[in-house]
Amino acid sequence: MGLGQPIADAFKLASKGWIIPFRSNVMLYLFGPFISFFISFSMWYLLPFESQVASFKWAVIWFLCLSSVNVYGVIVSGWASNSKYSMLGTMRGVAQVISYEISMGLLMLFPAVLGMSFEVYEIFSSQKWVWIAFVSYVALVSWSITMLAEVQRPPFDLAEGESELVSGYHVEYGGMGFTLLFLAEYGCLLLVGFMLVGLFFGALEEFSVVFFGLMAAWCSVWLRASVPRCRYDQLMMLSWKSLCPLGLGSVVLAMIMKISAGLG
Amino acid sequence: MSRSGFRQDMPPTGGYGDIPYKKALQIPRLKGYTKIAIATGITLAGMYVCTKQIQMNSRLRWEENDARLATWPLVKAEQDRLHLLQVRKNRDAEAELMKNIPDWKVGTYYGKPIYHNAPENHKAYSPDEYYVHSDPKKELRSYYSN
Repeated sequence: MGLGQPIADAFKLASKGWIIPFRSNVMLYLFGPFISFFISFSMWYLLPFESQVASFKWAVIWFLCLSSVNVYGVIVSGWASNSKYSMLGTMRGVAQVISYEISMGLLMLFPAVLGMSFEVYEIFSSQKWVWIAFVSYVALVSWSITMLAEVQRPPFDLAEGESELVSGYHVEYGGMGFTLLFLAEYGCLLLVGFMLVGLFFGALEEFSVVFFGLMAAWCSVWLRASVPRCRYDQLMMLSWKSLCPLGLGSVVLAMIMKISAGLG
Repeated sequence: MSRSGFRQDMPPTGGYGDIPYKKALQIPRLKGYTKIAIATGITLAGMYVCTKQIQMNSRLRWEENDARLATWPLVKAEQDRLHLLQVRKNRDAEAELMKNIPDWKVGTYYGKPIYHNAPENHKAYSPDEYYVHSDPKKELRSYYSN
């Protein structure tokens, strides 16, 4: 009977006190996890559901905007802690997220152009005959790698790096602050899983989006067990030398297909 | 005191052979060129079907847009009709409420008529005033029931 254990854990974490580090920037230190949590769960607004209450026209742009603003949670919570480890983790995380945003934007344009919309529901439902994963599996794999780096999951968790930085940007957080940062990270991860099955595999029903999205998120936990953390220069080279050209190529391919569909 | 038939267990003459550590199980694997050919085939077929899918989707969008344009006057007329019904309801409620007050002119605001909205004395009213005489539960139900 371990069912009560997670609930008890949640209550324990929520009821722990805040330990505020000496000479830290108190307001920002307390505020950082809330920024992270709020932005991460605002992104969930774009997911289409059967009721259509929360699906809107510029969802892909919303996703791109919020995932670039999401880095402020890391900046604020890492800088305000007044700790060398968290500052180093913040620098790493910010550089990583900013460089991976470019390939993320380019690779998200690929399903958006082929689905002829920025609305997530339209892109999901436009794949009636063939999934976009079959059109370019390169775009699928590149987007998955990019999103792993974007939400800072292993093997790209350089911002946390337990072996060299103690725990990265959330060294100094415990209790509710840590819980919020943790929830923000996992919320992003789940959303990325849902987006993956929707954008590339055309999952439309709530059941299949949730089930296969959870499977995609589970694959990232699986990767943490099997892949070692990569080096920082390898991470940057992967972004600028492999994923950016692949993203540009995907956009060009999508444009060619769109134009040929218009001609034929 | 040697027993006959006893044989000491010793390594074979010439020692043991090498341990066969190489993988003995033969898993059938595709060759590299076959894999590339399969991936290219799937991608090309996917691209062809996807161009057809784009054409189908754009035809569906055209049809949807045409239907929206065709029904637009009807939708606007229905909106206007609902607006007028609500406004008449407000006017009747005001007349019912103020019937005991002498020389009260229904439908005026400081002497200006609000329902005959000529451009110079047009007064836009807030949603609170517009829905002031209606039942909130009923309005919500009618809003979410379509």
